[in-house]
Amino acid sequence: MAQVSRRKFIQSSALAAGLAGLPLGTPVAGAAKSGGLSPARRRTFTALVATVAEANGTRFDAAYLRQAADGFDGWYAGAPRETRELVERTLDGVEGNGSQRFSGMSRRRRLAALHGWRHGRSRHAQGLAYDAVTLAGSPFGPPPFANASTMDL
Amino acid sequence: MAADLRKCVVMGPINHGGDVEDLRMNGNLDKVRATGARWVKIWIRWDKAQLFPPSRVPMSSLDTAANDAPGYGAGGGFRYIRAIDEQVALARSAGLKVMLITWLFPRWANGTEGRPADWMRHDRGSATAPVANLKSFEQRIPIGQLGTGGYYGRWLSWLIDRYRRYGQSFALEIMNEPNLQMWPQQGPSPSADPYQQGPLVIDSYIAQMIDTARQLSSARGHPIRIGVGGMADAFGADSRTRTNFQTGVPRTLDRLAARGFPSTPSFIWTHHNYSDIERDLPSPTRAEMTVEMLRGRWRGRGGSTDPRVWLTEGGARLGTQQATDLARQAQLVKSSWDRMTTAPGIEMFPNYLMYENPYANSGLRYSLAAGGGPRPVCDAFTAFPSRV
Repeated sequence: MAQVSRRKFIQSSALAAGLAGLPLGTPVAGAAKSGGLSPARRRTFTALVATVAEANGTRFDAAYLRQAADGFDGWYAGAPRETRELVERTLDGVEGNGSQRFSGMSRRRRLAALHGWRHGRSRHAQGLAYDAVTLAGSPFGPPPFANASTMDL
Repeated sequence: MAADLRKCVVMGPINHGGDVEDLRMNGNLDKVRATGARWVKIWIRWDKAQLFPPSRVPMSSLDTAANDAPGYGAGGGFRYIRAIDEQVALARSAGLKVMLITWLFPRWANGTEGRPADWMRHDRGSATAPVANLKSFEQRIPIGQLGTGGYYGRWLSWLIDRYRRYGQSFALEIMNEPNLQMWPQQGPSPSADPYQQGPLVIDSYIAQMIDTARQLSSARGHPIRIGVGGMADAFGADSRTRTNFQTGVPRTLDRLAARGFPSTPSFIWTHHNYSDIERDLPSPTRAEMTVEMLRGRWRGRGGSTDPRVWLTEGGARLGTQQATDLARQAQLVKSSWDRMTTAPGIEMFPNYLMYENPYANSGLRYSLAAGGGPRPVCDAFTAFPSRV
């Protein structure tokens, strides 16, 4: 199931080793390159990955999150238009779905927000939570969701 | 010519407790039926279904409140089992035939509990892979537990007994991409470098799992169909983390022969066909190559003279090979369907996922957050005739 493409984009991404040490969420060089994620979407993605990683018990640090975002950014830049649109819908939806910006919340509140969407009555929000967790599962390696899906949102 | 190619919608593996691809949710059952598919494939994660070893919660109590743990909700234990039961029953009540695949292994069963995160990393990824990107602990084969009396055998017994009432309208697929997802694929390195290739071992494990299922099924009079193999169709050199199906299939057949695997028509060889579709491969496709590898050797469905293969996962994932946009995605799926309808031995054609997914973007429909409407591939898939 889709393992190869997921691994490929992680493994083929040039990891920006020189970026280690930057504070979490800081826009990094390269993020604004043509076709890449906007800094705002990158912040949302990073916040999403951190939330899912923590909920999943995955070990991570700021450097890893940056590497994950770099890998994702490179993959996104080369993705077909329809896939990019799905990514954008998801990240923008996550960021703006609550009363507070998602990337500005604490991780605990972010997880609570995802949980609330997942278990709420809004089909849109349920779909958004699913898409968000799927998206955030990207850095965690094969197979799809093997790790991320152990989280019961 | 392959007559009456079966059409199968393969739902996503996150299907528990009301998730998006849960058959009970979002009108999914009706959406499957609307495609004209007669088969639907759903997943059961062993690691989530059986939270504790039998010594703590007997197999007879898996569907009771004893099989529960804080934080799981409907995503694990007895509620998860009931969610799967309900999806199977719902599909059958609607006239759909069901394939249920058991996926992953509980950590209490495979010896990974309490291990450091990078344990056996040479079997799980490259020397430079971040720990978080290694194959998961839930993908480790429960070595020593694959026999009929082992944890794996008891789990298969439980599954067969639980769903045997559905007879031949039910297929249990007992493994998922063992040549790609499971570990270890190879034995220890012969040198001081643990990443150096060792002897192939995945073939022995696959064969043992198949033979265990056969013994259990035989003891019960083969009440349901059993899918085996389920190999990913990726090419490339064998390594410590993956085995080309062109190695995996014949080597597994070698091991089955050594075990004296008898004629068992209810056992079906399964295969994934992403590459055939996404690369628009002409005949002989990798699916057809699999049929040929089985010819003269396979003792399951079709027998050695006319081996049959069910394609149980596949699709055209946007962004992969020739699947450059939605229109091309639909064309590729149609092209492969046309090819498979004339391919000897091929009896099932799948499409993976109901909804779009950024990484496995082969879904029939847009995401629910985008309204969930049909994509061109859905229209193409729906147009395929399927009577079985």
